[in-house]
Amino acid sequence: MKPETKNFNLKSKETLLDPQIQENLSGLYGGFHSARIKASSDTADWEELQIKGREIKKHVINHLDQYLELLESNVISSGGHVHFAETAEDATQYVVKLAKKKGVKTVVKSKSMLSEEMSLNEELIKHGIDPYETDLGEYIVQLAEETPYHIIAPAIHKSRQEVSKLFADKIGTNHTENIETLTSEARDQLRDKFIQADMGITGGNFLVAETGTLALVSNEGNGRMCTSMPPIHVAIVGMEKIIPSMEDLGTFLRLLIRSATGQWISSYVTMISGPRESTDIDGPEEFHLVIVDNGRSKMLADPHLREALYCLRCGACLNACPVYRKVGGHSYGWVYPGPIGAIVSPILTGLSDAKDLPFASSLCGACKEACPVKIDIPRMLLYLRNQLAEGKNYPDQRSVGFLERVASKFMSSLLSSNKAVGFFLKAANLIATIAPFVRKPFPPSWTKSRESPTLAKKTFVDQWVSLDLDGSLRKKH
Amino acid sequence: MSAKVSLFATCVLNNFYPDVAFSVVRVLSKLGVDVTVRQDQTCCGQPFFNSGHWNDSSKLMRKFVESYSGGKEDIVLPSGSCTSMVRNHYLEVCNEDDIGGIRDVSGRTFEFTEYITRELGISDLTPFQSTINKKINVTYHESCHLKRELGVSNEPIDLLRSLENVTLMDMDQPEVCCGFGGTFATKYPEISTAMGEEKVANIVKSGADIVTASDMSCLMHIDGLIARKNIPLKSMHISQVIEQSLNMECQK
Repeated sequence: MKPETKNFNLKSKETLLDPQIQENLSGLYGGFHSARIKASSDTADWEELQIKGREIKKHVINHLDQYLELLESNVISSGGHVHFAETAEDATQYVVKLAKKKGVKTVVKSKSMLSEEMSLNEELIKHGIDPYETDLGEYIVQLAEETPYHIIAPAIHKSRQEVSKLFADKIGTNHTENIETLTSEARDQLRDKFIQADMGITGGNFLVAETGTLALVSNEGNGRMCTSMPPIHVAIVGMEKIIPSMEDLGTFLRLLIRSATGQWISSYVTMISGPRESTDIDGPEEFHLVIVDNGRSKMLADPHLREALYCLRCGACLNACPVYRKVGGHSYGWVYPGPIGAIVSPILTGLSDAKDLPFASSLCGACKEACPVKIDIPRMLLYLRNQLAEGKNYPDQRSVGFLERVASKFMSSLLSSNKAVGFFLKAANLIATIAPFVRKPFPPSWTKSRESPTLAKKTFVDQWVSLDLDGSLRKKH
Repeated sequence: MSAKVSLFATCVLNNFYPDVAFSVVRVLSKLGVDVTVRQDQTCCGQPFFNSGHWNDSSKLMRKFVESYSGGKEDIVLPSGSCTSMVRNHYLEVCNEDDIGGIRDVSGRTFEFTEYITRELGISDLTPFQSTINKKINVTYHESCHLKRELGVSNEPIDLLRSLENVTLMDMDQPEVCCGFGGTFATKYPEISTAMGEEKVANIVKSGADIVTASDMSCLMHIDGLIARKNIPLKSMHISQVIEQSLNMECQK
């Protein structure tokens, strides 16, 4: 997906003015967000689980090379193929080449955000291969020719009326707003595709190194269909999704599912270790695992950002974020929106172009509070802001304007002296006798929608000093 | 021996809301605390830190640390956000030489309600309420940094509940950010305003006449919105609610 992170300002303003999207987004608080809070508070050992999950992630990310090697050898020994892709283009090429070699005409896909990084659908179509998204939300987004709006709920911005119209226009269903009928219509459409498909492409929630197992979490069963019906299964997975053992998988399934939807367990958890064996009655003849870097090693290399690789892609930080709940997913301009997206997108696509993202946060900390592995997102946002302003580690990406830097220097110097502050206030109050607006000093960006506070006639400290001198403060209490 | 506190009013109170700083002084004094005020105080440096200008922020960090280091008294700030800057973020903008001073100072730095409840051990203000003042309906907004960076959440609510004349009205989503966020409010005014308007709607829905919080910067934002729309609501810092309830203003 071509990054459009530059357009954050424009896109976010548009979204604020769309009442339908605003209504859908505000539903996230009472929906996923509240469900997560309930599920986690109903889990007796939640905090310990979080700490355990974080420790495992920390360990595995610090020893990523070893675990990737172990995983590779286990996948190969169970009959699968492994390809390490340095870039998204490399991963796409591998998939396209394989599909062409095998004469693939139809691909069924289960949900994968990484495939959005790769613009995989576009590339497949260019080569005459038809990809079909089989996750209902992704199916809607594909029909609408859009990109996912949310990590786990890609069509959250669509109303049922819009979906009804979309289905009528694109697949010729009768106009109905009955969700069951619409779902059943999508199911009918997709059933044929599953039967036709020559290749199934999935993402992966976890890769278990000790067994070479791919774990997929879904609620619609489409993941299982994609991995069992077509003769070839290709899984494309980010390199950070690796975990050491099956026992760890238990920990992470608890953390991921409760944080994502508030369920204790998803309807389906699919585990795949290689292609069909001779004794298996179904399953693909070939299994290919494509492990993708695409800029992730830049996060690995920067100790300030490394913990961004602990992310389970549960979407909890999006649901918790009051900014995401206003500006929605497309404003962020790349695959991953919300708080975690404001860290991942700048690093994977370029900090300078994405400079608005780290600043588009009130630093309220709701994301960190929601994160199942306690990723300190606000700290990383602050770090990126600092890099944009003073850029020691990413000097070529420094893009905070000259004027702001001068203003910051001036204000911090002024505030370094209480005498200077007192003087300025006196001067402002003097000027205010002929120009009263001076006592309402906030800029138009504030006063367009809000009243400015009023400067005091005398600072607290100055008032205190004069009170203290004649002892009158003591009379006050 | 009475507790000794040096009040750091914060730049927001010093320049815009000196009356609130006096309320803080009077409440602490009423609770038996000996309050002093250093004249060389200005700003903790947080606005610069949050905007990415860490070098500029570190000048104010050093000023704060030099000003208070070596003292014995506790330092009280009527803001969870500024307190968190001192306690959690000073270490991010410092050199190795600064660390000792920061540890000395930040170990004695407390937010106003945190100081009353955890340091003084007072969660019930009834003993200080001699006559029952006029009943008021109050709703409480949880400031983000007080709750999430300092872990102070129930303490200010306990204080408010203990005031016999205060009826605490429930607010929907009390922990959701008001949209201020420092320079965020002017960098993204539309988003900030949308968040603030949702907060104001929840305040209005609570049925309270007064909205209170621990941080004046949140209230400055909320107040800016309610003043623009002429909404019949009053915002008061938690120290003002306590001061009024302890029936102190008549002693002025």
